[in-house]
Amino acid sequence: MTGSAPLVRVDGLQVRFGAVRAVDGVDLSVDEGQVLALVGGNGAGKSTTMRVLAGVVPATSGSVQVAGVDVRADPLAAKRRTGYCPDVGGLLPRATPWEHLQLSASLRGLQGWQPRAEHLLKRFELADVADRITAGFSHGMGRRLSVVLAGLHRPAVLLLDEPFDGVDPLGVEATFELVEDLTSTGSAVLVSTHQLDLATQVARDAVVLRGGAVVGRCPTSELVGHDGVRRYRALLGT
Amino acid sequence: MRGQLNGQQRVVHELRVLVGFRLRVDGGDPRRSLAVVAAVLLLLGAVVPLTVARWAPQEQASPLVNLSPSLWFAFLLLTLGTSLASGGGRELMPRQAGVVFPVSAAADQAGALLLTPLNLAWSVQATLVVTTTAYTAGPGWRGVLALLAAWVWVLSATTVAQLVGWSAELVRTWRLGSHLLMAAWLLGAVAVAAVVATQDLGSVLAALPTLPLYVTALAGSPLSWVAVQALLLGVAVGAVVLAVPVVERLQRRPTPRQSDAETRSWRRPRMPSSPLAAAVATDVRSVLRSSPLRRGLLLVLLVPWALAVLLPLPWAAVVVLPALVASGTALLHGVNVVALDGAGAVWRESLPHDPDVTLVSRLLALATLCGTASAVLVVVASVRAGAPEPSEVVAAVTAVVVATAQVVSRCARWSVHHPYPAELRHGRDAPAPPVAMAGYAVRLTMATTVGALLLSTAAATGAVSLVLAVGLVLLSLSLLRLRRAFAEHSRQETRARVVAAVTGG
Repeated sequence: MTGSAPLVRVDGLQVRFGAVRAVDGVDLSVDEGQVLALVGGNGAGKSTTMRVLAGVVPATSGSVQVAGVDVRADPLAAKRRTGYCPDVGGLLPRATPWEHLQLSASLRGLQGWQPRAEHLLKRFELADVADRITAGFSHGMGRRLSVVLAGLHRPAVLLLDEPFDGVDPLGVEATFELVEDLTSTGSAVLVSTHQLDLATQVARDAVVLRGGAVVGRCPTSELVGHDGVRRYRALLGT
Repeated sequence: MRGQLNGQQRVVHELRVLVGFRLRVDGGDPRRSLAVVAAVLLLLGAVVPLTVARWAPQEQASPLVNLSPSLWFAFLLLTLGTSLASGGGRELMPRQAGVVFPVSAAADQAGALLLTPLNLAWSVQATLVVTTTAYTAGPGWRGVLALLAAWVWVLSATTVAQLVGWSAELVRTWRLGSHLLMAAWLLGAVAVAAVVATQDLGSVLAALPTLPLYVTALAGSPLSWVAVQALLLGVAVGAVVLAVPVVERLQRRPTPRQSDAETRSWRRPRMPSSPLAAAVATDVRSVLRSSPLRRGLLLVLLVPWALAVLLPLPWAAVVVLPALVASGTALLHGVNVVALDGAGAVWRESLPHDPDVTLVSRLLALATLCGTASAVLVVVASVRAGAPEPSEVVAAVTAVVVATAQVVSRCARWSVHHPYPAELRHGRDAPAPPVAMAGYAVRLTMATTVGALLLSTAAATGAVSLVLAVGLVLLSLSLLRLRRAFAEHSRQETRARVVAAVTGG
């Protein structure tokens, strides 16, 4: 927390798909060096919110800014400042991890990215499969590679959507390390997950979504333990 | 419920459920769709052939009598080729979606057979075979009997081709299976080349096994007619029955060719010189590493090339070839070019890039494939086409450019308007559902063939300027269509819809 403007700022975000309101008036902000967990059940609007921040889905209304850039007005600049791990899949089936990294580096105009790429692949235990196409990857391997791709360019804003889904403890640990590394240099991190225990470990603050709307904000410490889970369930209305 | 059904009833039940599901998912009313299919089949399979037999002038029929056995044989080769290229046949339900449902091998095989008429190449050839046969037999009962015999041939050739297709797919799962198949292909090619080099075409055609079948269909005694049809029907039933255990075995085995591609290490490419070069390299690799696309490309390239080498075509026909090849190539993945990224479309859309670059890159890859295949074919065919007029050369070159532009612009529009999720991973995968593919095939072939015929007609006048003018008009229409597709794609809402569609989310 440096007191400067938040790196992620979402005001009154609404996203509609036909008659369905996927996101209905979400407000949130993430400061420099902060990790915010976006938690909630299936269909709460977490992934849609993340997709809007990543510039993949347009907002129906509301304002969305990343690193001071309006995502709607200048999506290219916003995407340059963002690293995004999508919720499902997220990998080109007939490209290798190295080719994914190369495509990202080329489109971002990165120079000298190879040593960091090698380091991340090794840290996430993907070095041995760096030249195999991803169609043959397990779900967990795919998730780990998506996190590597999101963090390659040390983005100002890191968006991790369900990064722990199906990932083994070593992969979870590597993700924690990456988040810590980036926040220590001032990045803002937004982690969307339905795994409350991991959310409370990786983030200090949480926003709880239900039915596309924010139903609670609190430090993650208040969601720990028996009472925390009871409170969380109450917020989800279960 | 299922326990109360016997084997055949279960297959029929599964087929009914799968067809109904497929039609509903594709957005239609199942009863209406089936009625349309039945009407088209009746029209092309019976009404057109019998009308031609009744009303077309019979004096034109005699040259076709000599040609018909070759048409019958060509049909067998074509259906063999499509069956081999599609790994036995298309699926009623994509493997990805169908994996949780208990679909028996018999239903899978019957479903593939049922979907065969949706393959335009098969339908056109089948219609040609039955119509020509009925016409050469003449009006009345003779024509009806010949028509029935032609349909029996189409059925038996198709079922045998499917059996061969499934068997080849099974052989592919063996340790050295793909090498064995490659050796078989080479042996076949060498045999054909040897026959062409040592025999004259007339004696080759006279020795075709379809000649006695055709003669019996037209002029056989009642006893021989019944015997031959019974034999062919027996072959068809035998092929269907024999295919079931092959499909059963196949369902239990992984596809090693794909496994090879997914477990081997690929050489690291050099850093591309620009974002567009990076995007093009990604898309070209996506095409070349996809098993169904590689196989389809081989078929699309080899069949017309073989025909062009074997048969001397006039320049008027050479001008039409690019239309057919470009359309065939586009049907492999171009009609849904956005599906190349699969689930990775979300990630790719999140990268900082000009949205035009991605579409340009995909269309460039498609245009390169269509343009190269058409251009090489024109060169191959021109060797045996005799000395051309200047207008014919210009028309052939223009036809390559126009057909490529027509195909690419239509594919761009369809990809942006009607994206589908498609794995393009296994031999039986297609870029869009079967009914949509049939529609695309008809529209692409119609548009490009009409364009080619206009160019051919202009070339026949001998006026180069007229050929160029026709080409320019056709090219302009394609560019306008392309421009509209890009304008649509530049909207973030459109791209979000496309991404959601191809990723199934």
